[in-house]
Amino acid sequence: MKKKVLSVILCLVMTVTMLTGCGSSSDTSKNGTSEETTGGTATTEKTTDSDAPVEFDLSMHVANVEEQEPAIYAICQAYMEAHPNVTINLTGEETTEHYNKMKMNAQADTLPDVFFNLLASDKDMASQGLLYCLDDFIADNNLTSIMNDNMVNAVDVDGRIYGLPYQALVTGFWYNKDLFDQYNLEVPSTYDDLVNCTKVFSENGIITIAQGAQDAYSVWALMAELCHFGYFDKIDGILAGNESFNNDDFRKFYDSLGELRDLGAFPGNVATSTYYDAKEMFCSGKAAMFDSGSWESKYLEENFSNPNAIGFTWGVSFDNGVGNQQICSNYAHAPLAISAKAAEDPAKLAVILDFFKFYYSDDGAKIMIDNLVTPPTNYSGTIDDSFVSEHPAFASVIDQINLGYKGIKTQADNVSTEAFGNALYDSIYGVINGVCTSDEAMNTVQAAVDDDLGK
Amino acid sequence: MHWFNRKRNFIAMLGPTILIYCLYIVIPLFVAVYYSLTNFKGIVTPEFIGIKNYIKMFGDRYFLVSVKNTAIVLLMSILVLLPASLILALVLNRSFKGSNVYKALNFLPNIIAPIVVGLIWGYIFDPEMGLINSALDLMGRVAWKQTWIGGLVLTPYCVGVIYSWQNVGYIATIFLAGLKTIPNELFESCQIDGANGWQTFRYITVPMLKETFAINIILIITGCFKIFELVYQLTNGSPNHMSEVMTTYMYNTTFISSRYGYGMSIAVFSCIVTMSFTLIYLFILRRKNDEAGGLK
Amino acid sequence: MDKKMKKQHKKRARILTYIGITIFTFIMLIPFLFVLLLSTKNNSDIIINPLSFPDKLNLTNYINAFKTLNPLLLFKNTIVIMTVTMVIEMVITFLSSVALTRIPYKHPKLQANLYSFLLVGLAVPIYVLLFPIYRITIMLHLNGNFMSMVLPYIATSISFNTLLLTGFLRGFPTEVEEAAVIDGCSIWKVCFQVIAPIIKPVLITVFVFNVIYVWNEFPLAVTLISAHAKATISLGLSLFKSQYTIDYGGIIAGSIIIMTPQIIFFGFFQKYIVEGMTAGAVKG
Repeated sequence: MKKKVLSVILCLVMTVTMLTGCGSSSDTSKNGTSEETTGGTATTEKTTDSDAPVEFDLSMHVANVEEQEPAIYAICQAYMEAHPNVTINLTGEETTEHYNKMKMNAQADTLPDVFFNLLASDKDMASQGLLYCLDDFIADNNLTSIMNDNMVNAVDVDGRIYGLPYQALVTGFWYNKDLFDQYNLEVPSTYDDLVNCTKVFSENGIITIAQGAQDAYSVWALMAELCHFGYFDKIDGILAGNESFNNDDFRKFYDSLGELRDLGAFPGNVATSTYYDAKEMFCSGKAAMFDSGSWESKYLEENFSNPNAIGFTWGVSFDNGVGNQQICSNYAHAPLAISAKAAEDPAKLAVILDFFKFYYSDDGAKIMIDNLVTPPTNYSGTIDDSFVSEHPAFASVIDQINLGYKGIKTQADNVSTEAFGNALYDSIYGVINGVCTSDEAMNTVQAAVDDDLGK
Repeated sequence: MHWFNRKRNFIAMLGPTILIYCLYIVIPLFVAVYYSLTNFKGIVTPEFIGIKNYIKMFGDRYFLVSVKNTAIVLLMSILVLLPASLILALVLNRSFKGSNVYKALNFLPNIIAPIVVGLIWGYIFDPEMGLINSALDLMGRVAWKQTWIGGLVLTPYCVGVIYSWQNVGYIATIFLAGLKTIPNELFESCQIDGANGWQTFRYITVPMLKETFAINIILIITGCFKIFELVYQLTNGSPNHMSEVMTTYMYNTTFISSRYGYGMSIAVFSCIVTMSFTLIYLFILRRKNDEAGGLK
Repeated sequence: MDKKMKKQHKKRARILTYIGITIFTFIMLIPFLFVLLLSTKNNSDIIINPLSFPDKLNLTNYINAFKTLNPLLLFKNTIVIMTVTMVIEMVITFLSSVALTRIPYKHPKLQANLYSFLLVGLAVPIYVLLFPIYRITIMLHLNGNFMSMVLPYIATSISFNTLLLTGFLRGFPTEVEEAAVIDGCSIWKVCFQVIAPIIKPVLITVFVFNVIYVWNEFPLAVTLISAHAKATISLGLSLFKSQYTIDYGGIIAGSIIIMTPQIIFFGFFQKYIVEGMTAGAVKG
């Protein structure tokens, strides 16, 4: 069986040979795009043909890019190998420090040439004219045909695009099939199933969902569950101040969380657990499910005693939910953006755009997939059976994507400011930790909205 | 003493310090004060909003919790850290074989990376699998088990313990330096007069350490108000900011939630409180000294 | 007889001291022994079975940490920054502290105010300074330069040094200096050849603390250093942590690698603090 990868939108068939050598791979990227607007290609060819050395900085959110972002590292290596005149300086620092540093750089007008950044912060920078507009690049390379709407339009500021997701953010619950089998349980698809599973697991001393509240951002799958209650129908009104976050629909979500908490679904030490603790809890068989995302495929495959027991699911649907319950959390990850300053140097800009073109091509996607990363583009090639069987966790992610559920517009915390996002995490963990009622939790978020509105 | 009354010397001696200090501490502090009066979020040009942030602060439940937690840590440190480090210094001051090794070992907690401190003490205090609760289980004292960290009550006390552990060697080293400045002759004459250990301590050591006490108390006060990494690595404010101290809450609002303006108002408030504590303490100390006709 | 008893008494006291200090030190070291234990375990054991004893001695974490850290480069950069920082800051804060305690002021209030002014820095959390210091660094065109680190390090140490140096200077009598002045020594000679030797234990204490501060300082370093080639030792540990992954084994082993030189350094200089005592020709 051949698996189609990331075929949420079936792309125009582009024959892509499975390339092994990196050198030839980028050659294809150059030729492969020649069907596009000639103007764009011409500039690219001109610069890549000339051997004048060009250097640019790419600043990431990890200190050790080679180890911690192997996909990006591999893409840069492949690109530099194909373009000996280009040097990409990969720099970075740990995530929180990185975001702070980008803000400082924005104030001092010293942004790196290309950088990873938070979505909210990217939009602010764009509104200050600090970023290069990618509209032409997207049109020239016809990216709208190979990227989903929610990917390509992630950094939309007044109808113009200022950044492209560095990966697809695919979030959900990992589960341990062996544990479900052991207690004759099905992997839950509805909330009621989940409640039943929790009752059985709790009786047997097993945690249903591993979470770590010390890293407040680690609530990806639960945030997606909030979208089963009409989140995107309401949120614009809420952010505009016309509606309250404290409403009956959202209350159902928080009440469900409270019910799960009371049933013992979450670890007893969830308050002091980190995301990493939750991950180890899942890996060691102490927890049946784990709130996380596709990025853990590799780690789980390497550290799980029985990798074939790993599965991935979008989560559960709710009988009392609002709107479409068949939705999936496959959306844009934090974007890569080009600073306006870098764009002032035409030679540098041309090289960066050529690099982007490679990054958002099937060749780039192939490198990502080889590193078990979900690419932001819809990869049109095929993947060998052997790859699938070697990587059961990643294959399970792809299975979920191929269910063809409706993609959620964006991750729930990304609709507004960072303060809003953090209030949303706090509201969810507040209920899980047992320090807030549903009302208090919703009011926390409403307070952040009010604050942003200057109330 | 009339050997420095030349302006040129005065400027040459104080100038460089004042210059660097103003450039890197005072100017940034004024920048922080300015931002605390705005709605700055990190990137977009800020709007001036007056003292709104300061008003908001006193209605912010989490901020008030962080003040309370900071106060608990401070109290714990004065009550535990100060006496413990004085005793340690007094013992280490008797030069016995290997005393240097003991000094170094007791100083060790001060230089372990904060992330490791958070990790280790997390294992010790963790309510589910921590060392203390496991030990209580083994001893059959289940009733004594507590939610040491991550609950609503005990976390700041535990932070006080860890902070004391971290700084005992540090504060003791300063006490030691102070003890070294007391001339041996004083102790000798005391012994000749037949004073016992306590009398020597009460009438020689403590008065001679007056300045060292002042230094250490100021360091403890200012240190407690600046505790950051310890809490950040131990609980990161969990559950839901209830174990936050002022600096971590400031950090969270400023850098994690990007409410730079509001965060700076917390920082400015924290600076003012710390400075007031320090100056009031110094004022009382100086007045006491003046009354006693002692050091000026 | 009396002498013998006294001797015995002294011996007993010494033994008690030993026992007491050993027990206390041991309790202080329990968490650290725990660190050593954890450093021999792999990542999942560190989280899942932190309390268990490992079956065999496993040094993989140390080997990995050495590979990842590139300690030679990190140590070199740190030592360069540290040396420049220490030389400048010890001299200028020593001089300013002497000026604060030994100058006769026309307005005594000025002295007290200058002192309080210089102490304000103690109350400022470093996170308040990061954004502005970054801007100042750019304005002075120091970015990417070692001086961009040195100047903030000096600045953030000024308050601490002033507190300690003025505190101890105030405690010292001034007869010796006055005698030197009467002998016609210049101000600088008085400072460096008379005062400095007297307060040597204090200077060394301040020096030791400053070195350890610079060695471990993280927030400024991560803000001001971008290039890997310029990274300092305190940045090393962040190489083991990313958004979704953490290498606890690497962090623990790495932190032991980083703290070992410090503890040796501290033990070494402790000796000089003791020596300083005998040299102190101070009379009450």
